[in-house]
Parts: sequence; structure tokens; C-alpha cells
Amino acid sequence: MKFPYSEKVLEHFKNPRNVGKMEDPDGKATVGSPACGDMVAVYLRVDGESERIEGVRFESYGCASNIATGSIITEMAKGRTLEEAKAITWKQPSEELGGLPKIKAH
Amino acid sequence: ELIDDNTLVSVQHANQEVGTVQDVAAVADICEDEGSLFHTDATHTFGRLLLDLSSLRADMVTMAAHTVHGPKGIGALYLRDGTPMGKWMDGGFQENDRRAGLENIPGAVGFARAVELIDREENVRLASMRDRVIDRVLGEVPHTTLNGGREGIPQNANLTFHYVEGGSITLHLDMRGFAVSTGSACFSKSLEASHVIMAMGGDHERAHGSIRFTFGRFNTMEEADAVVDAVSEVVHRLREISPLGKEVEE
Repeated sequence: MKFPYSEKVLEHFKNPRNVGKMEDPDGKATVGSPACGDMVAVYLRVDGESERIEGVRFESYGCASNIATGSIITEMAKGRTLEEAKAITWKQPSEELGGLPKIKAH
Repeated sequence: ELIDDNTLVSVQHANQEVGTVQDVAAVADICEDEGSLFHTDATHTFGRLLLDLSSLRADMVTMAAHTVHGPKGIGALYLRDGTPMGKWMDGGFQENDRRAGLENIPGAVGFARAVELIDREENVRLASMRDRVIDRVLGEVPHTTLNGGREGIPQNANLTFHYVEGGSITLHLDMRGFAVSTGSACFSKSLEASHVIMAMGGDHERAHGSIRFTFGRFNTMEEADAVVDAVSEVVHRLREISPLGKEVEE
């Protein structure tokens, strides 16, 4: 079958970066739920002085888009300050990945 | 009890997702008492279970060629003598004045040949592959649920792998050369999880993690074992990255 995903999405899906739980993170956020079939948890370690993200990891329950997006946003956030990371919009990771299927943007 | 002025009841003989066979004879009884016509869709039982039209007692039965390795694009409709049936496609008098357009001769010939090739032994073989997948998955992969049972059609096994999402399992298996399907919303265009598993009392998580394995004439027991090995490894990997189920002891 022809996958509705770009090569880059498939690559991140097969080999997700920064994946797995982080012990004692400085911050943790979870969005989504098993009910909607999409869930991501993101863990952050932040340098207190510079507010720069030193470590970032994610866990994912979801489809290829979900896993690939978790992988790319952690790559994008790494090394940025919290302010810079906040400025990342949902469009940027999608563009980085070479586009996502339209129905997946929700 | 049926709704007033009910003229037609249609119940599928077996469900294609989980393989459950419905007691259509009991439905036929109700329809007879109520004076309703009864139709059953036997697409997934035709050639796989013994279809005795006198015990099914349906006025109309649908069958399809592709489920018995026949060509796509042709099916059959059994009509009991005396069943009222109007013309449903106007513009010509073909097919006993019921459907306009020339008969699909190549399809009909292919369908007939496919029916001749159905081998009862084949269904025993399909059931043994189905049982192997169910036994091995339930025995070797923790946190799995069998959807439907083993009493259904011989070619289907439907299992939920909890804490992981079926679209990801399907894609990983596809990349390894296995074609399975899922009741997860993630793989559909509607974003709705399987209504079949939800209607059976399952929750969203059970529907999203469900995988349907369907066997055909050209599958082998080695392939049944290979797909279990692959799904076991894929599910293990996906669970490692899933935020769900971590509090559960494996």
C-alpha cells in the first residue's frame, strides 16, 4: 500500500529520537487520552539560570504521526530557552516532517 | 418486538471484524411472526461455514466472490421464491428486468470457478492457523484480549494489544510484509474507533489497540507463526515508548 506519510515521518516513526521516560524531570506535561487514541507525555530538564532546555524526552501512545511529531518536537526544543521553545507553533514540526496527512492535524 | 410497519430486517450473518456468527435463524423466527422480510449478509460465512438455506430461513442472502478468492466486483443475491423484489437500476431490461446493464460475464465465470475450488479441508486449515495465532498471542504477549471467540468464522482472529495503538502496529507490520487491519481510529478516515468493539462493550482503548488477522488459502502455518513473532516484537517496542500501562506489572 502507499503510505499517507512522508519519508521523514516514516523515518522518525521507525527510529524515534529522545524517546522514553525521564527520571526526576523539571517539568512534565501530558496531552490527549486513550479515548481519542492519541496521547503524548513530554519531560523537560531545564537549566535554572539560562532557562535553556538541556534534556527533553517523550512517550507516545498513538499513530505514526503522533510518534514522529513527538520525535521532531523534542529535537526542535533541545537547546532552546523556554521562551524560544514556546514560540514553536504546530505548523513548524509538520513542515519539518514534510507534511502530515490533513486528518491528523487536530 | 419490531417497530410498527417494519418491512425488512437485515442482520449480517457473521461480523467481518471479530468473526462472530449471529443466530440468524432466531431473527428469522421473529421476522416470520411479525410478517417482515429478512435479509442476511453472508459475505463472510459463504464458503467458510455450511450455509443451509433452509435452516437460515432468510428471504434474501448476500454473498461475495472476493472472500472466496474470486474476482472483486461481483456478488450474488439469493431470493427465496415469492420474495418481492423491485427493479433497482432503471435504463434496461437485463438481469430479469431488475438491474440495467449487461451482465458481468467474466465476473460470474470467475465467481463460479472460485466456488468450485472451495475445499472444506481449507477451512480446517484456516481455523488451525487462527487458533495458533490466538493461542500464541494470549500465551506469549501480556495484556491482550481476544475479541469475539473461536466459534465464529474460521479465517478471523481479532485481538487487542492494550496500551498501544493499532495504527502503529499495522504500519510496523506492513513494513515487515504483513497485511493486517485495525479497529483504531488512527487508521481510518473518520477518526472513529471500531463501532463493533465498542458495541461489544469494549472501551476506546480496547478498540484502538485491536488488530484483525485474516487468513486465506495461500497462507501457511509458518506465516501464522511469523506474524505472531513480529507482532510480539512490535508491541513490545511500542509499549516501551507508551506512557500507558507502566503501572501494570508485566
